[in-house]
Amino acid sequence: MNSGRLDAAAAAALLLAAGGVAALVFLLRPPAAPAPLPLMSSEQCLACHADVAAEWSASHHALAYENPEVRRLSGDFANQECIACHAPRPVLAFLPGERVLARQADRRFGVDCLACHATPDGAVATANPRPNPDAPCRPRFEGRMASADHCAACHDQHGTVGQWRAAPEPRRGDNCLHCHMHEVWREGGRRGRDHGFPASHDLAALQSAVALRGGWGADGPWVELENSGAGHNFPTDERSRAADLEVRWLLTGGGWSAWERLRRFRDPYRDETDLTNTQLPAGAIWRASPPPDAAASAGEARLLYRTNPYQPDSEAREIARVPLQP
Amino acid sequence: MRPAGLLCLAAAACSRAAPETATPALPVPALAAVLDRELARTAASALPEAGSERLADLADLLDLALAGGRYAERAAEVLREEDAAWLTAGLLALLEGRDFTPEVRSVAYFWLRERGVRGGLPRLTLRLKYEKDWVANVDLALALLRHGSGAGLEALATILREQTRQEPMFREARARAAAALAALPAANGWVPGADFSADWNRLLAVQDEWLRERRAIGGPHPADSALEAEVWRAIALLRSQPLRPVDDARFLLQRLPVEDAFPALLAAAADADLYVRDHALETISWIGAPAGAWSERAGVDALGILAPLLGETSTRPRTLEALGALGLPAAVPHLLPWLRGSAEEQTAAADALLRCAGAQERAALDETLARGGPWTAEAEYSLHLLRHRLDPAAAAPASERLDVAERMRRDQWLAQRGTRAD
Repeated sequence: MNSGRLDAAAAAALLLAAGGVAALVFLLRPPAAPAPLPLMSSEQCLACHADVAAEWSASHHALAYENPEVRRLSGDFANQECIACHAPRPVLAFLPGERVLARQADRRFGVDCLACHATPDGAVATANPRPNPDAPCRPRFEGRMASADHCAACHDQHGTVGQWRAAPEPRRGDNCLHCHMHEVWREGGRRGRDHGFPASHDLAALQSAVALRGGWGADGPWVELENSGAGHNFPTDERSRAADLEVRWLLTGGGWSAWERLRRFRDPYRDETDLTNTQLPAGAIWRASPPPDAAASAGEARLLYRTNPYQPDSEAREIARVPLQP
Repeated sequence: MRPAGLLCLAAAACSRAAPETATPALPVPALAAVLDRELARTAASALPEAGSERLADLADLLDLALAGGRYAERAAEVLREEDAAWLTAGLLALLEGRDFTPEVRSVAYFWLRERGVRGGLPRLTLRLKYEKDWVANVDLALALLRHGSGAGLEALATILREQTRQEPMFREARARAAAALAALPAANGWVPGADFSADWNRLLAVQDEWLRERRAIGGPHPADSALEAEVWRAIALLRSQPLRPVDDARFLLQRLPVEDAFPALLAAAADADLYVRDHALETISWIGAPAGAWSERAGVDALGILAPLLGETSTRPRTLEALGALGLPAAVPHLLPWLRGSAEEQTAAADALLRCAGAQERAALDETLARGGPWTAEAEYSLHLLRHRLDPAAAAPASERLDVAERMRRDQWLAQRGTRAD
């Protein structure tokens, strides 16, 4: 009887010990990686990347499908060839540098997170060489993310990446990120890249692309425009983009003459057979000596940027203005 | 800062999670270099290339044809004696160069109508995209009509509807367009030129039939090896990296008589090149129900050809769209499982159902909707729009999640849908 009771007590103790060990193992186990998140939509990125999403939502990538100007120029996308770049499938599903195809779902998000970051196997690519392997989106380093090829999928349709490749080496920078995705520091000391993509809708970006100079020498007034900062032609991408260099004169009576256009910098549409491409390549300078009004005592020059060639002066952006004084 | 985009993302994030993954596991279809094979097979039949010297001579002849009198008579004699295939290629090359006045282009279209071969039809159709002159558009429409295409009828109708512009060019275009109606195919009781309103009604009737069926007007035309070769040349543009040639090809292939374009597109849908495959399927979707009707008339099992392509993941959404666009209710079993697929797949499947599912699918549709999403905004709209079509008592789809252009595209599909599926 007694030995039986002892056996039972030993068994109970053993069970207790085993349970304790199991509990200890459970408590001390390494944290399990969260289950991979099946990627369905860019909406899912918001949970962890609200700061990046906020930058993106102010960008023209976010506006790509809903931009009223794009809608007008494409006939509300009746011209369906535009959709491929304004609501693209993930770029990484295509060979480097090859064009993207249009997606069917969530077009309203335009060029969204998945368009640049989704991989064909459902993971997320990043240019960060040390991504967090435990993040639910399973990020992995993808060198192509930082390459011009990645942007070429859309931005070479109007020749921008080709222009960049043809530009003199010192003018080019390392890649498109150099000018269009600056480094930023985010909350928590995390380093990243600005997803606002400053470009032709950003005055500071436009001003960093060109230098307008002018004066009034012995031979009269002169004006010159240098593509001093863009690694590609100025203006580039959309054929509708136009930059107008204009002058006006301060008349002896005290008033100003009307602005007159000296030069339009623009790559014309294909059916504008009477026009030639007057874009300013990287590093190039265009110079002119505009004959002043006979009654002029001084003048000034300005550079206006238009997102379409018919845009009135009131909607155009003034990039620079210089005085022309004897 | 654009809070709308962020809010849009945030709102949708709450409603979207990963769907059940119970989509069919299909065998990967065998893809082949269909395009290269067909280009090689048809190369000898394609229109000849015209050298620059001969083109210059041809341009001179067109100028002479405009001069009137004996010069014009002599030019007409020479043009009548030219080899028809070469003349077609030469005239098209001149028109594509866009260096000529509208008057010269009108003469070129006239001769394409008089002596052009049917192999020129694809490139002639593409002129509709680039010809801006109203009078020249009348001659272009007549040339297309002569080769069995009604693609230019829309231009005639537009010109005749425009009554506000009174400049000489518009008046001449209207007069020429009115006279052109005599070239419409005959109909019982219709006497061309006797009464403008009867002519106008005849135009609308022919145009309506063309848009619904896209059957060759005055056809069927005999098989034409040059036309077949030129269709394959157009399909070859689909693999271009610059988008403009792709858009040109889609534009013309969509507007050819369905029997001239659809068989080749159906074959190209199994090409090894992703771009050829994707755009061929997309063009089939744009052609829509006329392609399905042609398949039935010609005894071609288009669904049987397309359905196995669902095993290819990269073009699966496009395949789903093409299957539905044919407007054949028999496509429905191929589509339903993909409502549980990825965002792209469920959107394409829902859109496809909108274009082909009929009353017999009401129960399956109710079950699908009762099971609930998560749906993309596009899929949700299409499914509810279809439900509303099948039962007007059902609630009309809510549209606030969907972009207006996307909503209009789907409303248009519904409007274009024949009654056969209902």
